[in-house]
Amino acid sequence: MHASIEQLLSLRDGDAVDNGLQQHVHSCALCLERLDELIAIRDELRRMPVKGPQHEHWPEILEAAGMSKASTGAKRHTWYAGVGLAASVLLVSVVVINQRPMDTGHVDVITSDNDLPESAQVDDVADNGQSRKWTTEEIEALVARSQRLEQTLSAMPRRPSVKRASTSDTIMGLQQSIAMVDYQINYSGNAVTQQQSQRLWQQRVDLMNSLVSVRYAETQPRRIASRR
Amino acid sequence: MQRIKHSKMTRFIDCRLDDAIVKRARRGDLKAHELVYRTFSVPVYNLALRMMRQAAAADEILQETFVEVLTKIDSFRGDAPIGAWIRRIAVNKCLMQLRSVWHQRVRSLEPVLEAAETVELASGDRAISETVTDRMDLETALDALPPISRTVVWLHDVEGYTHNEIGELMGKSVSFSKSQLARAHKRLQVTLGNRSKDKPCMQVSNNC
Repeated sequence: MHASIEQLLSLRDGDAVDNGLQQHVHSCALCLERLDELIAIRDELRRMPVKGPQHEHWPEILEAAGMSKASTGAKRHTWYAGVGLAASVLLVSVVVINQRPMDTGHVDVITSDNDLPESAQVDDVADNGQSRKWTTEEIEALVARSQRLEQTLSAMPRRPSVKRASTSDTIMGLQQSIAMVDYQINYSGNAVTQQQSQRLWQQRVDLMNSLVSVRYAETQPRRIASRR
Repeated sequence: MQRIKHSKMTRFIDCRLDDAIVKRARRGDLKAHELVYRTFSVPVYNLALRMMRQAAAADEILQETFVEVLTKIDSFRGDAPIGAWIRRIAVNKCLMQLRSVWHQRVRSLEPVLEAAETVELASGDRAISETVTDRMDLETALDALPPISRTVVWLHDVEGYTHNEIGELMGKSVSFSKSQLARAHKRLQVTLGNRSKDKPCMQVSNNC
């Protein structure tokens, strides 16, 4: 009966093992070979090249810890800017809130009316059961809302120097989804109906809303949780 | 100012820092803090890179670790070398990231891991070598391990953590750590192309 890998690892690491096991391993060519392999892998792991950071991080670390001269001097200005930003985002949020859940970035690719999701079809049915016709004014209102969100986004401070990989993933996903919607808006031309156009612009507004929210959340001070 | 020379093999165990510098850092001396950073940035980054596999994630861990070192150095009691304290912060940051829902979602899109794990679940060790290219080098094989196994093998075999310490860090038992280490080595052996387990048991000849 061969020794298991777990038993061989215990032997390798000098942990307590059964005497019988120890005797078997030392008298079995296969088990000895496997033990040597485990030792060799550990030694090779320890010899792997040590890799250091490719960029200088110290200034960013100081800034994130609030210990750089720049961050200390600019604290009051940042605070006032933060209040102004919060006010503008709150105003935009009140304008755009239509009780839609945060868009996670899923984009409906619309090629015909049949592609419209069922929820949109339900929403587009008027009280008399006829299909709702979106007016040009309503679509233009969505366009204007999208433009205001763009302006809010461009007015935001640049992304913090210490970025969370998860937030970056979310932002990238939203940006890609917006790009997909823009592509459909720009290249569909006269091929889309009012309904399809409304749907595309509504998607754009929802995605921009989500992006503004994530970017705003990112500008808030982070609490560092320490674990001992 | 003390100059810190970085050798190629700069690991936590290789790094020593004078107690006087640590004391100055605890008093808020930024130059001393920078010395702490310069001394330990390479081993912290290396540890993070091995556990997280991505340079961007390792950069983030490096920054978060030293922000915490800067802001929480008062809590360093001095009953162990400062390197051990910094390493523990870095390991905890890595584990938090690995446990995060976002990281798990990103992981699920990686084809190598997905293929290897799916095949392993379906039909055992031999199948892994059929899905992976013939002979990988150890670095690639390490990167191909699932995060938990990779974490345990790195912390135990390279960083020198005991199974007890690993279990405590991960909120698991000693036997969990041991079984993960065994699993990691089993996969490493298979993906590195070792086939010794197929040979029959042979008595060692005694030439004495």
